[in-house]
Formats: sequence, structure tokens, C-alpha cells
Amino acid sequence: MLWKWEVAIYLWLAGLGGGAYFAAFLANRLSGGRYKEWVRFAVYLGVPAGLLGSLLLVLDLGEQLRSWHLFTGFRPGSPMSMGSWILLIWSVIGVAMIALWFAEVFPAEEKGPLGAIASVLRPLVPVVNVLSWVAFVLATLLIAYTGVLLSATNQALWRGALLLPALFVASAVSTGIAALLVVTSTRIGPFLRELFGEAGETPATEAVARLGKADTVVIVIEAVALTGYLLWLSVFSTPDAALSASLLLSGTLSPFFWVGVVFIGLLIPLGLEFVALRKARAVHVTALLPALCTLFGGLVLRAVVVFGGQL
Amino acid sequence: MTQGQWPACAEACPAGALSFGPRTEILAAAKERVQTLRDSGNPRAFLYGESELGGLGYMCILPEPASLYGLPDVPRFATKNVLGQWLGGLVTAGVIAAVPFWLLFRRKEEVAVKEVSQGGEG
Repeated sequence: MLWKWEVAIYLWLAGLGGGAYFAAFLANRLSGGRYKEWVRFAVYLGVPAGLLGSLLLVLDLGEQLRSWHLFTGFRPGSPMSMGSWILLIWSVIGVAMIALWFAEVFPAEEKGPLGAIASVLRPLVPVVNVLSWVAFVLATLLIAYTGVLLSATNQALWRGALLLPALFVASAVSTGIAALLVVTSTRIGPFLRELFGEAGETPATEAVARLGKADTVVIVIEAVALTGYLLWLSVFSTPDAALSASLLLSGTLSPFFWVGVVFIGLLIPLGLEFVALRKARAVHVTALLPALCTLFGGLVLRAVVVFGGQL
Repeated sequence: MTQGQWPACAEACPAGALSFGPRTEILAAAKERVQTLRDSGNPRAFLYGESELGGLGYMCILPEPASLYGLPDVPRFATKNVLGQWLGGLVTAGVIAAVPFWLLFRRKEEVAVKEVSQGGEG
């Protein structure tokens, strides 16, 4: 087995970081800038997720010190080359956005090294608007690439043509929203606000509930993509692909698939969200559990797909 | 090989099962051999590598289908459909951007919902 847990965790992290930004950016832009704070939370999540994921990828290589060779060329036909570049630019832009937000709120009269950095960056603050669009394009490419990376191989389980990228994109956005919900409904949100400064008004409980609703719809899309993917492998693809799919459905990996991916990752969040929608109880309590289940299910999904493709 | 010699494996092969040379010559010899095999009770014998993936640099005469020897029957480049796969991911992202995000978060509806909820409270 060539690709082990490092790759599974990496695919999950990259999806989560990119998905959180994808969701936050769309919610903020479509609403006319009401949810700036989510965009910031998404970048605070997405940059470490991208960097940690890249670190795992390098660890996974046999020759860590030669990993820079990936950046000696730009090969659009190779998902690995594209992914390396996407991750690199994503991380650089994310760090730049954090630096500009820092310069924006840093008191102008303050001296010292931080004050010096802030005064250099302050004229560049308007650029953050352009960067946020570039980051959106990169986040979209990043979450698509996690699926393309696997499907552009000849492993029976992965060469699922179009539906594996579709499944990973839906899972990335649902885990990304879940990560945002965890941040907003725990003490992590206030902590980040304390650490990096406030960004516009804190989104209301009603907005958080709406984000939960969006997650429910994305989870439904994910369930459809998952069903289509496995159906395609089992019925319409080659015999070895059907054999691979049966590993998940009834073979060695089936307990992880049915309990981890389907029950915890899809059914529990959907059930709880529907209960929350009907009763409209205190969102802070009900948002956390489905979000944690979604995050866990997303990780198990990456693991069963990565391991299942190599068994 | 730069000195005009055969690779050691082909040169040393005691049964003459390996051969080495310009592609056209090897191809002609291989086709002849396939025909001989077919005539002598191996009707499924064929040459693997003549046209697969645009023609391989290493061809095999196989008496049975390639999958029996652990080779793909119809080999394809792993990244052949890469554009379609990117599209599969990006189209899904587009769908998600429209439903639920555009439906739930666009400004118009935002205002309407706000008014309704305020009306409900008051």
C-alpha cells in the first residue's frame, strides 16, 4: 500500500480548509458582506489545514528533501503538479490575507517591530478584496483536486471518472461548513476574535442556523454523489471496479463504511438537522453534534476510499 | 547497447524467447510468430503492445487474453479523462454554490427573512 493514513488525513484537511472558505466566501458575498467573520474563521482554519496537509504529503514521500522538485515545472495534465501549486498559492494568499487583516486593526500609533510591519502593510489593505476572490478560485480548485488526484489513476476504485471528484467536493464543503459551525458554536470563536480582532458584527444565531441548513442540503448532495459513485462502480463499470466497490459495501471495509461514513457521517447529521429545523431549539447545542459527526464521517470517507483503492 | 550489442537478457536467453531490434523488424517477426502459433492450435494468440497506448516499446506474444497475465486488456493513460474529472468536481461546486448557497444567502431573501422574523417577534 503506497498511500497510507497521511494521504487520507491530508485529503480530509485540504477539503475541510478549502470547503470552509468556499462556503464562507459564498455566504458573505451573496449576502452583501454580512458574514465577514466566517470568511476570517475559514482562512484561520484553511491556512493551517493546508500547511499541515502539505507537511503530511511531504512526510508520505520517500524522499522528503526532493519534494521541491514538484515546483520545478507546471504540468496542467498532472493533478499532482496542479495540486502542489494550488496548495502553495492557497497558503501564501491565506497568510497574506491574515497579515493584511492584522495591519488593518493594528493601532497606527503603536511602535515596535509589529507596528513597523503593520505600517508597511497598511496601504495594501484594500488588496485583500482581490485576494479574497483569488482565494475563492483556489479553494474551489483545491476541493475539486482532492477528488481528481485519486480519479486520475488506474486503481479500480478511484477511476470513477466524474463522480469521485463530485463526491469529494460535496464532502469538502459539508466538512468545511461543519468546521465553521464548530468554531462559531464553541469557545474557539470568541478565542479567535480575541486573538485576531473583531471583523464586522458577529453573525446572529439565525444566520448560524441557516448555515446548518446549508450543510443539510450539501449532505444530501453528498449522499446522492456517494450513491451514484458506488452504483456506477458496481453496475456500469468494469468487473474489478465492482469488486472494489464490494470491499466497501460488504467486504473488509464495510463496517467503517456503513457505520462511519453512512450512519455517523450522513444519517446522524441529517436526522439532527431535521429535528433542529422542526423544533428551532437553541442552535448552539444542536449545531455542535451534527457538525462533529460530519467532520468524523468525512475523515472516515477519505480513509475508506484511500485504503479501499489499494486493497 | 550503444556499442551495437543486445541487452544481456535477450542475448543470454537460452530458449530464444526474447528478441531485440528495430521496432519494424521485431513487429514483422512477431506477427509471423503469432500466425505460426494460431496455425498450431493457439487460436487466441496475439501480439500485445502493437497498438496499445499508441504502441509499446516492449511487445509480448500472448497465447491467451492479456488479463490472464496480469496485464490490462485495454490499457489507458491514467490521466486520460483528467479534464472531465476536473469538470465533475467544478460542476458540483457550481451546483452547491447555487443550491443551497445562492438560495439561502442571497441578499434579497436575507432582507425578507429578517423582516418576517422581526415581525414575528413584535
